[in-house]
Amino acid sequence: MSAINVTIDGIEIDVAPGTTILEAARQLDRDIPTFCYDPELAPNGACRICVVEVENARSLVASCVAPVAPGMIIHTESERVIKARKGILSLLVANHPLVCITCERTGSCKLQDYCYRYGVADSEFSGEVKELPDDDTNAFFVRDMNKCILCGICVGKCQDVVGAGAIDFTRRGFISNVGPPFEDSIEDSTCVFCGLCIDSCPVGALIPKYGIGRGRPWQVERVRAVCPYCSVGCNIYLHVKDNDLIGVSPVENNPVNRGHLCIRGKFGWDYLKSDDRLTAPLVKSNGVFIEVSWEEALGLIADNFEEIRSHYGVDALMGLCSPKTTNEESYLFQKLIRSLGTNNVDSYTRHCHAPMVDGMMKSFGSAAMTNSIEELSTTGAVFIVGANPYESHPIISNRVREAVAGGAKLIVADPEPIELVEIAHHYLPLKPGSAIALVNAMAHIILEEGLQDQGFIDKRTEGFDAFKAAITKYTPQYAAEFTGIPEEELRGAARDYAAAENAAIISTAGADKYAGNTDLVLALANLALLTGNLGKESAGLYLPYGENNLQGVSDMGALPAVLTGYQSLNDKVVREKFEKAWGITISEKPGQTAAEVLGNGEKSTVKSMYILDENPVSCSGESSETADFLRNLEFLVVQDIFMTETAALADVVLPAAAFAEQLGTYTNTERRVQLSQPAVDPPGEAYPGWAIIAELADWLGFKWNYDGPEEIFKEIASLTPQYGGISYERLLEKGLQWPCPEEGHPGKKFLYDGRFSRGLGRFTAVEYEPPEELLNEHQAVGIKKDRHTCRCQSESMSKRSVINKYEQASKQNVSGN
Amino acid sequence: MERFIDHCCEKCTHTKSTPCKDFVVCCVEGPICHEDPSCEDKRKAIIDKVAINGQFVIC
Amino acid sequence: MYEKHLMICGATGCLSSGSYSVEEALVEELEKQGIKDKYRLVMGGCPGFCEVGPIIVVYPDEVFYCRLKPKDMAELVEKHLVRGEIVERLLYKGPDVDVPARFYDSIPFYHKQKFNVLRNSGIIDPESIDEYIMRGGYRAFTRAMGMDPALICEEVKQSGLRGRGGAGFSTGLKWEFTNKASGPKKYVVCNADEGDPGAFMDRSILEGDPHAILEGMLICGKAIGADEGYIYCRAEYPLAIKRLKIAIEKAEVYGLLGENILGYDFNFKINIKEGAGAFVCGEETALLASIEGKRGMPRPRPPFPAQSGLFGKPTTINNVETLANIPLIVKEGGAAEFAKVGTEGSKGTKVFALAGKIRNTGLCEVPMGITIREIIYDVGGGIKGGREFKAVQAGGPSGGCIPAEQLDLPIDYDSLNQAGAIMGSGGLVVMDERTCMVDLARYFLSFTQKESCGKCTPCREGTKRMLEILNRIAEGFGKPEDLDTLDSLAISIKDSSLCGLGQTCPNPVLSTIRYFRNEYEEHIIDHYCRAGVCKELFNFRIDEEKCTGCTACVRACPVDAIRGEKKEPHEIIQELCTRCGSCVEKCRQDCIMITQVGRKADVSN
Repeated sequence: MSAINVTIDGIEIDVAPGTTILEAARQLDRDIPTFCYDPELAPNGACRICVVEVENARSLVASCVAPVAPGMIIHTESERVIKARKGILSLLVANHPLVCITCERTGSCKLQDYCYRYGVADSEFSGEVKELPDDDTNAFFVRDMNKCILCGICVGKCQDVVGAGAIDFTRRGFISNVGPPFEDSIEDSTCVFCGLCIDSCPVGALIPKYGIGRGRPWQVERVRAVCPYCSVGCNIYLHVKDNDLIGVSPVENNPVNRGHLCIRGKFGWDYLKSDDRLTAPLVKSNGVFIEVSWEEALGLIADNFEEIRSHYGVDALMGLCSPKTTNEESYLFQKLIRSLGTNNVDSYTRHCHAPMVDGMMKSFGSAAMTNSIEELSTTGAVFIVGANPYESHPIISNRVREAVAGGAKLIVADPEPIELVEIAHHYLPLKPGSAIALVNAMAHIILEEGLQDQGFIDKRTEGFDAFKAAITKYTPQYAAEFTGIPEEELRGAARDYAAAENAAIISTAGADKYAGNTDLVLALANLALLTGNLGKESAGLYLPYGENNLQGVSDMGALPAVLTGYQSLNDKVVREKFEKAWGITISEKPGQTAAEVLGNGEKSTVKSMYILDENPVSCSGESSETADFLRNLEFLVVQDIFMTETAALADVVLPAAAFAEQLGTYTNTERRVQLSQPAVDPPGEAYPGWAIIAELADWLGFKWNYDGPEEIFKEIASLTPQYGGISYERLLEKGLQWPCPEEGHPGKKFLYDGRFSRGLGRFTAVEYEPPEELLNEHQAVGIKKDRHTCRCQSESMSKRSVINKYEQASKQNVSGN
Repeated sequence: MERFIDHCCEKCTHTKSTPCKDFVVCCVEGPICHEDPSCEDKRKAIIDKVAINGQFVIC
Repeated sequence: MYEKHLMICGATGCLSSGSYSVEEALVEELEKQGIKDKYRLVMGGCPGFCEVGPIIVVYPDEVFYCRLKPKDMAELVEKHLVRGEIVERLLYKGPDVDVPARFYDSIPFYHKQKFNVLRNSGIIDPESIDEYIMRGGYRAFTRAMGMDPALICEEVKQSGLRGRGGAGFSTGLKWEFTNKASGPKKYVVCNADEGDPGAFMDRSILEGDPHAILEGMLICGKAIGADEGYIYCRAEYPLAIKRLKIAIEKAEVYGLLGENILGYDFNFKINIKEGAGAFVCGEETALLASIEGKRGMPRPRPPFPAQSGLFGKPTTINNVETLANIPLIVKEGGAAEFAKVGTEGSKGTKVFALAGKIRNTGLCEVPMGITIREIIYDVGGGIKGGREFKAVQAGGPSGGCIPAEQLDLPIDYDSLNQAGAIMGSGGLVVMDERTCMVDLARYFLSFTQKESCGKCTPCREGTKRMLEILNRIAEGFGKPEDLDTLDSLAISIKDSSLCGLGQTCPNPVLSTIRYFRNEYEEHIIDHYCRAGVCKELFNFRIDEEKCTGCTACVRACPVDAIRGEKKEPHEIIQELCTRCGSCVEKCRQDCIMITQVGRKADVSN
């Protein structure tokens, strides 16, 4: 369709059909004021401040909703318009407490700004002013509804974007208000405290409690960082005043979270100020920790490592690397362990995800996420099985909602009606443990009805014939015995998945434990290969990780059999490259995995461990074998920010800086490397982790002499092909997704558009095996609990945060208590 | 035949599932598909029961 | 065969005058005499003349009995039914007739009326589908089934029918827009919310002739390509909802709703959705939101419902009265016949609800183009109690008042708009010199302020501020600049509100200021309410010369504020007087006057 020509304030412009007057005006940098307009929401037309004059129109026109028409002549600041806007402002101010002096939003309030712009100092209407009680009951924010101007943005965000649906307009006329049903407090509502309402409120009606009285908007410095909780890696602003962190808000324009956060990112940062923070190196003496100097602590560690090495051999040492800390720190950590002569380095958390990784490796040759989070918004179908994004990765849940609003079909397979079921086109309430049967049956239906992408299968895959044969027995009726899903419903779901131009699958690590994760991942990969949903946009397989830098810690080679970028130890050329760069000899022998070591207990050959920001004891329990093993180590060093359950067992505890206190990069689950800036100083004598490791290396005789994290990253990039083109300079602008092999490469949004990492995608038939024991209720409950929140490492943070009560409550809900 | 929907005789076929295009006109002016004075009378009887005066029926 | 048919009015007005008890008494009497089976009793629709209810019309004798009481039934049965003699005492009597009137044709109230929409109301049993068919029902629909949908739209356009809900948009054109919209799924929606206070035109149609609505919706469905319809009926009309449900059930049994209707490739299903007490849900887009299960708040247009309406599908929304006209138009030759009545720009008839200080209150259906004078004096019988006509409010809370100077204004959409009023749903509230125009504006504005959905700033906040100013004026605290503020605020609200409610709610204020500015000024500057309504702004005083000392007022006063001996002129003690007006009602000499408040000290704070 051809462009439409309109004139705005005397300037002609051509715009696409369907453009609103407001959008067209913005293209010309005409600043039309708005309260209720938000680009994420359907145009509201409620506040009326955006009215403009259109020649020959019956009345003033709300520019945010009116589409342009050919030949329209628009005046955005005519006398009539200004009069109307002044009228609106005067009306709003008449019913608004003019307490700008102490209001937290003074200086960043739209009502204030527009009154200033149009010279509305006070209202000409002196009458009733609403007197509603504050809703102050929850721990996170205050709702001062007397300041509310009823723009409705919070309602739109809550209902349409996030789907919590905790608030709506209540009552009507002059006493209209916004709040939970029956005027309950927000705490008793379905609010998930994601903070979207707070961040989009144009006035001071919604205020985070923590920041009250701590800084005026212009006194606050906003430092750009990456959220430390989950693997989405939301871009956040840390609000700092006088070296004190007083709040967090989302970064608007970025492809990861786009102005959204969840309760953890928005409110879960106060653990940084917990009294529990480690502030000095500690050494255990007679069962009690005493504070020592850094020299003493590091010297002690160096001595002990040397002794164990000479006594037992170098493989008696092992390092457990954190999935939560920076790439730079992880890199140095594995460099140190390898410099000591062993490849015993792994990540404990990784082993939760290992089965999923194995599955991806088998099917595609790489475990990296196939597509990006932002692509979910434009997909044609989403199939969610064994995942609850609303709980575990809310940003992903928001994207799914957006996709559905845009016409995508949603299929949810889950024993429980998780929140996204509300908007699902197909809800398949399968019995716990039966997902493989379900997925196989879907593949069967797709083949039966000829809905597969045969072209893709022929050109890009192998193993199809064996797969096809294996699937024959998985008729819907056969699967129904295990899943309990009737044929018709399964057919409908399978058809919708296959029929979409682009379809995505979402599952999580830890999906459907009782069926064996690897197999489910293989089954899902089969489904994606079958329908050609790989190697193109808005398709693929989404298995988001739990912890924030799990991708990074693996990328950095903190793994027993590979170096950075998954370059194999076996490869002589690779080893030589690293040996040259590091100035050491690298052992050919692959190290042990965390699972091996911690699972072996007494029989293990490992006698000493250096644990970085991991907490195996909390995951497996105080009285577990793992805990015993750690307790009985000859020498245990734990580096962390809190005295965790694992740190309590250590001989030496080293205090580290937390994410907001150090510069570094993190790699999120969609392979995006992002730079996080430090906002405040670490407490006491805590140091950034990279510096501690470098200092320890020095004590151990390795002279690294790094300037800072940027220099470390340069080294990483030079040795890691996938990171080759990434640098801090580029990252200051925005995050980059690997593979990014050289300078100027834009990064890769989605993978496998040409070939798979292993060449051809591989079909691997998997059989459904009913669980050995009949699942009793407790076990089923266990599945649900494990499946939905695989973030055991973050517990040490959330436990010490104001969000703890809420997290516990939601876990209760999830586990059906 | 108590109501218009009741068949005047076996020749009438109009039901919800087997409708007849002429049903509405036939109610008052019928039978249309066949001729039968007694069927006419049956309709008249229904009408006369409620017709309040000569102008009640509008064709 | 029944000997006689007794059509008892069972609609609102008569019900509240006691027609149920009248019916009970009638039944009792007939049973007592053992003759009940000879007569058909129908609690039917509204014959319109609510002022003289309860009403029973006897057919085929064509006798109109009114102002009935249960105790009249014995005589009616004995004299009329048994002995065949008309009971003159129970016929219509009034200053407009020389002798008691026997039937509609001799009752002046009905002379200028023309029954299109009310053609069946009061004549048929509303719960009978057969009677509707006998009266020509569903013939237009049968004809429409064999027509091209675009042609049906064209015929409706030719008829000149304009939306009777208030806006007056060409119905045929509206149908054409939706006909042209693409998509397999479309909807027909009937707006039966009728929120204007005091309006009951739609109620009468729904209660008295529900099949007319079904037929109108069916024809609309055929014309626009819809297979499903919703009737959004306010929950405060349980009888209407009951009648609609019965009508739908019977239409389904007869195969006039459902699938393959009459053997054509046409399906149609009608659902009823009850409102939940919000005036704003009479607005198109808010109504649609309500049907969708959401909060009834209007949505911005475009997109218009014709392109994206109910559940995002092309939808036509029509008012009850509009739909009731459709069968008349779509029948053979109907469009031309319809267009013969009315004016150039406003064809057909309109049902009005006459209320206020008029002698003949009730519903009337008159041709468009009839003048206000004719409605007030010929149909309405003039002002009650011999007072003077002051103004008539047309269009309810969205409308404006028309003063005496405009009595010869013809009633049609365009003339009313120009005069600052609107046709609206058809409510006409007649006022005499005892109506205060400031108070009138206040009354309507307080209604719309409570009903404002709260979404947009000008309506939500603006109506409140306008109301506050009006309240101040009525209480004696008006300021000279208030009129300009009201004017400016009203225009601002009209210009920038989101929906029809906001855009029209300042009309009562604007039109009363336009025509009765002096009254406002009297309130503000002279602190005087000459109509004797705003209690702080007038005193009652007894004219000593006219007072005969009958003590009627002394006895009537609830606060003992009147002093006076028999045969002596009485006096009102102003400090005690609450200005309730009980004395005025009782005074036979009409000697209690409204005067300005004497000294400033008399104005209470």
